[in-house]
Amino acid sequence: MTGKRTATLIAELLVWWFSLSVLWLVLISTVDALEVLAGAVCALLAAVLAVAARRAVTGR
Amino acid sequence: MNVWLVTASVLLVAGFVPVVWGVATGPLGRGVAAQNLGTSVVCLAILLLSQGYDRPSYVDVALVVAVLGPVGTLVYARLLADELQDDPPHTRLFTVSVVCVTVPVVVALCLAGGPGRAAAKLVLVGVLLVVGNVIASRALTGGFSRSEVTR
Repeated sequence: MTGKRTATLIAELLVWWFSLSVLWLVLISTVDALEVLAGAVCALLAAVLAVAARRAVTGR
Repeated sequence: MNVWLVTASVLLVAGFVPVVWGVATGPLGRGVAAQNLGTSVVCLAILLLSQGYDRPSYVDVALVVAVLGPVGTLVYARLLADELQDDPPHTRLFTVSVVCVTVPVVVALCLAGGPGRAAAKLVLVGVLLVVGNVIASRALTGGFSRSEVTR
């Protein structure tokens, strides 16, 4: 049960990370390696916050 | 003075006449709905001006307005929940107007700029504007659960 829950959590985190990275890439003006790296890090932080916020709202 | 700047000027004048009229003369609910329309008009005008002046970075300002405009209206809807409950405003006309203007403006700007990330950004601004307006209008008219609004 715990393993399944962890897998769901990681899957949700990856979906958030991917979506937010795409959003970052759409919104920036020039795409280069540094921008992609900064975007990936920021998107990961935001993804963690998004997962935590969603869990807090749904009360799980 | 190109066609984008002319369109932006016409939009500002045509949009802000009902906004000023609604804010200055109407009851509380109509005032809030009118200021919500005002943020949408400003957002679309900035999009047109960015194309007219050939300054793509101005789109960022429109993006911020598209996010914060409806959020500001939600704050009003929360703070004025008791007053709005007695006399909910009619926001359908404002929302339909915003959608009917946003869609052609965003499509025209996308066609002018061609496909690419800039077009995706414009579509994002347009979607945020339409969705934000629908949500804000629904909140103003008490469409969400009353217990959630007033709690």
